[in-house]
Amino acid sequence: MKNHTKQFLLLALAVLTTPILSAQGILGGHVTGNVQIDGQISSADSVIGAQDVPEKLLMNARADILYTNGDFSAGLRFEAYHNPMLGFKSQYKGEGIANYFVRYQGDIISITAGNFYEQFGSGMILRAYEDRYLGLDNSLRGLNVTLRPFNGITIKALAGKQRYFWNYSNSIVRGIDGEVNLNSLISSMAESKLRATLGAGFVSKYEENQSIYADPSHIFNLPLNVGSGAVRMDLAYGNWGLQTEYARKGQDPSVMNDFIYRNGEALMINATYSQKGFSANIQAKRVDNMCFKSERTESGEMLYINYIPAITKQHTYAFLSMYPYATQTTGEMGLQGDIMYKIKKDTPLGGKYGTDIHLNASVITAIDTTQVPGPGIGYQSDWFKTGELYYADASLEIAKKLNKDLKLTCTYGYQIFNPVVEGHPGDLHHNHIVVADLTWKVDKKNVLRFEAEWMGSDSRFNYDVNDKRCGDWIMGLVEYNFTSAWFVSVSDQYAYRDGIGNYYNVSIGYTHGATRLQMGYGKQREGLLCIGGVCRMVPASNGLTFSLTSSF
Amino acid sequence: MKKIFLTMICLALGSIAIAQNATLPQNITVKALDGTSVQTSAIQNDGKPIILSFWATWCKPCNRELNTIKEVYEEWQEETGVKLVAISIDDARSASRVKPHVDGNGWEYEVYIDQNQDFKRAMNVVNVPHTFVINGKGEIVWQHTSFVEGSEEELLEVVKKAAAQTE
Amino acid sequence: MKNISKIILIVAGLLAFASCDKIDEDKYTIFAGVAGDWYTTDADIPHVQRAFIEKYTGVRCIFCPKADDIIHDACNKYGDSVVVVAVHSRSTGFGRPLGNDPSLCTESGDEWFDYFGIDGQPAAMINRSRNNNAWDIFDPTSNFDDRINTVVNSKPNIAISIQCGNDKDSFYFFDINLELLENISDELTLTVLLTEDKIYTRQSKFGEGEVENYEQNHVLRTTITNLWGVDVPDGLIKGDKRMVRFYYLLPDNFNAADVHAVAFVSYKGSRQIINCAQSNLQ
Repeated sequence: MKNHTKQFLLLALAVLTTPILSAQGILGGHVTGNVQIDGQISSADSVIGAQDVPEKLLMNARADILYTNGDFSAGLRFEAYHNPMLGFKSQYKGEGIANYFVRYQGDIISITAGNFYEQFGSGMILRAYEDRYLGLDNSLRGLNVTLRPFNGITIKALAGKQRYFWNYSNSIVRGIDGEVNLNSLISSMAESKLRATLGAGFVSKYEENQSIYADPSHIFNLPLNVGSGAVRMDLAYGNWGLQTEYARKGQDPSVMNDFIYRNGEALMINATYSQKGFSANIQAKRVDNMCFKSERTESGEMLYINYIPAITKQHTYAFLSMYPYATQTTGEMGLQGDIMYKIKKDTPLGGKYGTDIHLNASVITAIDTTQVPGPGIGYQSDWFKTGELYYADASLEIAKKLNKDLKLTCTYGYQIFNPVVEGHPGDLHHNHIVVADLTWKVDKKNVLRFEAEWMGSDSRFNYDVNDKRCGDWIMGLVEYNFTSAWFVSVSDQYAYRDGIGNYYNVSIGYTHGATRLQMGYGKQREGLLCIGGVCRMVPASNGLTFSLTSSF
Repeated sequence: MKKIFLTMICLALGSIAIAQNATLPQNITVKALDGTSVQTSAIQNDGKPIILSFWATWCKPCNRELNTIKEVYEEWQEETGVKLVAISIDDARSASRVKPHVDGNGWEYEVYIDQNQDFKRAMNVVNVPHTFVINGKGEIVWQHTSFVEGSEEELLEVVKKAAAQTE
Repeated sequence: MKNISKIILIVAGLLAFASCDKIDEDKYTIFAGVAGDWYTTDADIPHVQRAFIEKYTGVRCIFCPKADDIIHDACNKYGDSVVVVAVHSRSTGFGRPLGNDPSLCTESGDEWFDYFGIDGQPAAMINRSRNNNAWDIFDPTSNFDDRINTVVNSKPNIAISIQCGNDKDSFYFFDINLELLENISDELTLTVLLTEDKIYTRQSKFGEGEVENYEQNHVLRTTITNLWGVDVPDGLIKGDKRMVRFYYLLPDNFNAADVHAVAFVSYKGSRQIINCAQSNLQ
């Protein structure tokens, strides 16, 4: 109850003071914010596996209020889940002030007290972030200081506890990071064609001891402080670019790695070449035992301190993203290549408007492991040897403006998917996907979009009753836009061979400025919703959804 | 507790009135494509309007918007002096692909990466695309989420108005 | 500002060094049970049959050094597969110390000496085996490779391993793991003892008289369990693994670097040894 009172007081304070402060103009400043309300009414459908919702209506809501006055800002976020929508963890049930902070943001120093989001380098040792669609909020509550003592030098220091639904983890996360931009720091390099940024960071987690049994008579001798450090380099020379980051982590036995004492490491290399109308990019990574969480017994997707991004392409078409790849933080190796090319206007292949070609391929495998029995380092790994294939895909996208009003995008994708990445070993799936996407600008105010997709998968030969994705699929979608204010879309996904499911959807949306209201009715397949290689399971649903977002 | 929530909504809606003429936040750090840190106070256009567009490499409507504007960008610049600043919210997964993506598409915009999404939060951006128009005084005069072919006309009208305001 | 940056860098340096715990390889787990109680375990126990060579000896026994040489060769040859215990006994006989040397005899040793009816030294047994209803006691002054061979090449019924360590100071622990490789219906007991190498005493030696500074190895120093062992839980079946821990405060006159812990499991009824294992104390 005490907690609620505190929250109420804070809220009351915010409610009372913000309008006074800003309306009276004594202190000046601005109040801005955003609101999002999502709701869902779902009823049982045994075919797709949708369960009845006893509450009938599920709703997630949140509002961010931000007050800014010169270098000062303060903000708070209210969240309410009555009850959490399907796919969101039930621990979110309830409402309250989930997040608040005050911040001074000067030229040289910026200080945040309260909840903050932060990232060191590419996030391999620390990334406190949120993704509202994944129901993920890893914000830290504590103190965050950023210093820019000289031009070109940034030092970040922080300490805090990580958010865990309506509570905070029982550990403390501390970190420091420094970054030097040589071109800004060294005057002779200011105009150099070589652009160089170097950085290094260190993060440490302290978590109290606990008794976790290795066997009936032994508990693990747990490290209370787990450290993780990384060095990184970002170079650019003319059209060329090279980014690398290497991270290591000390002993961190946890439920995620089966309590092994092996050190973790991760390496990421990205090389690019780009010029106007052409770009190429190759990315490689190796991740070994790099799952870093603020609680050693947390097995879900919460409480990650670091973030290991997937290097596969983030597909947006429905069938291309039906089998998404989720980063295996315990170990994986991957390679990805990406080429974009614009065939010039007024050439035989380019036509009147030019043609865009986008080619992408990636392959992800497990790392090689040789088990070492007993409590200990767990396994040994040959650095350059690959383990079993996790995922591979290749896609070719050709976008062409046919005339002033018609634009066609065709995509072909091929995927090999190992179900073990979703936790249940089985045969590899091989999927072929074809997408055609046509936009027709009827006139200045009316735009129609048609999308047709096909997927053929050998998953149909060994049908798994628990996997609603089995079979060969077709999909059609028609979307009508009246200016950018209104849209209506109708779509249907249908498993026409050796699969079960007919997922139709009708949606309507209205946008006015930064306010958007959207309603949909239909069926949603159960599956993984993935953003940035982080995934959450979304159960099947059947019924009405609505969503209101507004910024002001 | 429901009451609190309602109060909150009222407050939120009520503050729309208060929140007029919000300006661009000044001291948020974003990254230029060459890796240099840049303060948002550096987003300037000599008293002429700015289109500030939040986007991501993986966001189809964002790409449609930026590609559509590309076709008419030169005309717009001549007409209104406008500058388009594209803020990528790509995270570590795709941030390294922003520069190739921009070059590959042949965009001539000023592009920054907001990897930690500090700028995105400060601007209350929920979904991308989210586009702002900022007048010569640095005030946010218009914002819109989503994009459809044809709506660039509406954007141009707003930019023209903002340009006229300044003069 | 320069100073603040410096301070932050120093703090960062300290943080980096201070905030990472490293657990040593042999300390990944901590015993969390009750000493002397039996627990199931998933420890990895090598399936090896070893020979328990029990040698009755004494500092006044002139042929004993000859037996020591033979046993020394056997140790070199069979390595980990043989476990040797030199029982200095009978405190009133050959085991009685020479000059001012401290006695190497133990109560346990004397009691075994009497129980097995040893009538001369040197005398030896392997795994306390029996031959025609009598203890198979032999003279170890001549090569007994064939006896060792027979034992170490047989298939083990029980696998046993022992690990030692000390939590603090001289307080040592001994973890013994057993795995039943066959179903055994007889009751079993487990005995744990300590031996020490490199104890230098006077020793009577054939042809040389009393030798100074003779190196005594594998000397039985004490039993950790009682003489005939503690009961292994009954009702175990093939595949079952159990562990038990004992503690012992090492006296000052033991040199920990030369001490070995020896564990053997035997039939409670016949007292024949089934398998054994040994480990350095440190």
